[in-house]
Amino acid sequence: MKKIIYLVLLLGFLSSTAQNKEVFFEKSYTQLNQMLEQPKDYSFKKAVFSVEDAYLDGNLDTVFINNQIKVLHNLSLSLIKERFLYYPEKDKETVNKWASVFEVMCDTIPMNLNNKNYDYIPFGYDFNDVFGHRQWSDMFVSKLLITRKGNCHSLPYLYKILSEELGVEANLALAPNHIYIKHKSQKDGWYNTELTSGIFPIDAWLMASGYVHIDAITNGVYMKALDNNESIALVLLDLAQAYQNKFAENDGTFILKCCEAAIKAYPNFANALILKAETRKTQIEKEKNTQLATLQLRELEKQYAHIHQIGYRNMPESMYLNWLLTLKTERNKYENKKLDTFNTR
Amino acid sequence: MLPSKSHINLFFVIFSFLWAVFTYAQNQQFPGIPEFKAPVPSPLLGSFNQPSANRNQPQLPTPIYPQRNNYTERQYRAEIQNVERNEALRTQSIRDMESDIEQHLSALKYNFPSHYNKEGAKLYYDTFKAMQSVDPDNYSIKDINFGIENAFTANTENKAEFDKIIKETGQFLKAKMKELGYDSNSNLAKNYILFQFFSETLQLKATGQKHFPFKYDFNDYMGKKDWSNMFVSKLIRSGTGQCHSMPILYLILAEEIGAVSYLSFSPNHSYIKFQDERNKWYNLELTNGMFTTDSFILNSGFIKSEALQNQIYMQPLSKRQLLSQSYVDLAAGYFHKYGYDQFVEVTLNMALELYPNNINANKLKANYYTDLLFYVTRQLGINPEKREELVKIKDNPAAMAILIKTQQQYRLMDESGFEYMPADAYEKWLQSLNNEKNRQNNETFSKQFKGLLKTKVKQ
Repeated sequence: MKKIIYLVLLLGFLSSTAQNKEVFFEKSYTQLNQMLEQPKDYSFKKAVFSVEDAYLDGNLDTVFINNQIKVLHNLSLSLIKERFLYYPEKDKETVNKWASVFEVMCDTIPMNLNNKNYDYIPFGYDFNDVFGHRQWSDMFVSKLLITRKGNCHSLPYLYKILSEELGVEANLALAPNHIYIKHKSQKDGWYNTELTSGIFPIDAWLMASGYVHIDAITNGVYMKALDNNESIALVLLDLAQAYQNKFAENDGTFILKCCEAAIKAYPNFANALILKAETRKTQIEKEKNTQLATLQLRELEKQYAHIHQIGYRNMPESMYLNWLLTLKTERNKYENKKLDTFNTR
Repeated sequence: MLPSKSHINLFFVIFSFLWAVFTYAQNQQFPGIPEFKAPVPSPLLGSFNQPSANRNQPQLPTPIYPQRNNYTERQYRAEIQNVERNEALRTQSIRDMESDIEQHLSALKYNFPSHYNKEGAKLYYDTFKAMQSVDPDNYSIKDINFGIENAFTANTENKAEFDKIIKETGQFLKAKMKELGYDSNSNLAKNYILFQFFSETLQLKATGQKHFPFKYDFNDYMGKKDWSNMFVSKLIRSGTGQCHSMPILYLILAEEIGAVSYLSFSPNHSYIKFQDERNKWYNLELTNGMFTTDSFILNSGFIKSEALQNQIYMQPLSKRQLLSQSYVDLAAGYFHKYGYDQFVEVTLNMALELYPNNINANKLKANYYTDLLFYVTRQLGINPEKREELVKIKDNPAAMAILIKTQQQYRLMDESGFEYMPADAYEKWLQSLNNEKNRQNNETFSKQFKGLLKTKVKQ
């Protein structure tokens, strides 16, 4: 009897072709669209992990993930309860929650468990695979929770998830090849939280990469505090990229579908516009009817012109790390000195 | 540095207290107009003591009550008279008290006293009227700016002479363009000759006429000692100016030779933007005579992304928006000459009608309301810098309304992405233009230009 079960399982495993694996992507796509249509269904945590689960063929260890998030959530709660935050304005409760998430992400916290002293070690930056070239799952929050090292994708995502667990918002914001956090408090107005280095930078730092055209800021391509729908647009693009990484030889249909949904939720989302254009380009290259291809190419040129016109400029990946490090090397120039509240170190 | 009398630091103090008061006020549902209900003096009116109802009232004799039947008619009459007299005294004392309170309240002023009757003030009203009569999309910046400066100097400027100087300078520039072989129809070439006029020594070979570059005036770049230091007339007279007079003269000369150029703001600063024939934008920093990159301007550290999203900085100002800034200049001149009164408020509202996000109009308006708040609270004996005193303002609806207006103005500015830039940070930023990197950028720009101009000549 046992043998038969093994056999069935084995057959089942062998037959799980690409087609079956795509089901997880479709499932995630449906779920993300549902969140866009029904605000009550919105959950950034669920959105992010649906994409990671799809990439891992439905094998994401949700028990481990949920446990980890629960532990971090409890740690934030105890920080809020036990440590003192000097902040004089009415929105202290909210600011205190943000501060606790920041500490969980970036600070070493002394703890006492069963009369033994421990040091909680914060999350770190993983310099090995910044863009997920080695392995796409290096971008994942689940990878961050397992290895405790992440990048400008997984770190702000986890920050947002933990904030929402505490019932407060955290706005994601974009810069070239980069994601960071924006908050608005009564005391300091809008301010930035940079999780890759645990520093609060002023806007001048984000503008200093040399690849931020002012039109891109004016049009909300970069440095805009993204709302929930725009954040889901980011996740939709993650889904498209995960799909692209997994099924390199796909026909582009699924990717275009994701891009369209993302652009609908966030019209000036440069990365979605670019992936859409590039996917179209690949499709056009395969087009056998040359007359049709010429027409389509003309349409494509318009798309690229639009991307340029809203202010997007391509930042070479090699420039990214140089820029990221300027926040540490030129900390005095770029650190927000108004935020004495959290700069406890 | 642009005109601003800054109370911003102080405002951080006040601002943090405002919320509490504001929330309270919302519950109170006070009317906009002061309403006088019962003659119950509020603790606000510190110097005012409630007149005792008994102050002038004679003490009633404590009668040893005689037996009822012992009352004579004379006694009755006397008692009635007594009561009547007391009643009359009481009414009188209430009336006194009411008029006391009324007098005190009507003595409170919720607006600055007008300077209308002061010498030369009428000229400002005339200038305002003249500005209102122009078409906001098509007017002469030369005439508008002359009117503003002439109002401050009490009609001592000579328009004909000024026009002559501008006309001759225009001819000089056109002749020089010809001499250098620049394309006389090119916007790029026209702007480039203007740039050279500001930053190089130019000599016309034909006539020997020579013009030396303008210099930055480090002495009084904010017009603190003398507001007229900010003027184009001063720049022409002395050859030195700052980020206010230099760009305005540039625009006046651009108008004269038919170049298309725009004024643009950055924190505490203004500069020139223009486009070449291929629609590429350039930034011209006249205080140093250099071309600058957007990233240099962003690097000042005081431009928030919200400020760009709301288009308060680094945008080429339209004609209408430039006129809005001219109203701000008019208001600022009036303020420096006489101080605040409603003329300033009306003029700023006009500026904001033309360009609602004009950051300089909003800054001056915030300062206006701040001063008005101080003016009113001083009369009430309240120090608005102290939280425990400021909360008392809620008892006076008219003063409270001013506090709320002030608060709204600051919140509006916060939301538009404005951030206060201290003077020393501004100076440091402006001086950083001279560093190696920016010098190289400038040279690259200039070379690009020369290349373009030469191609034009060949064509």
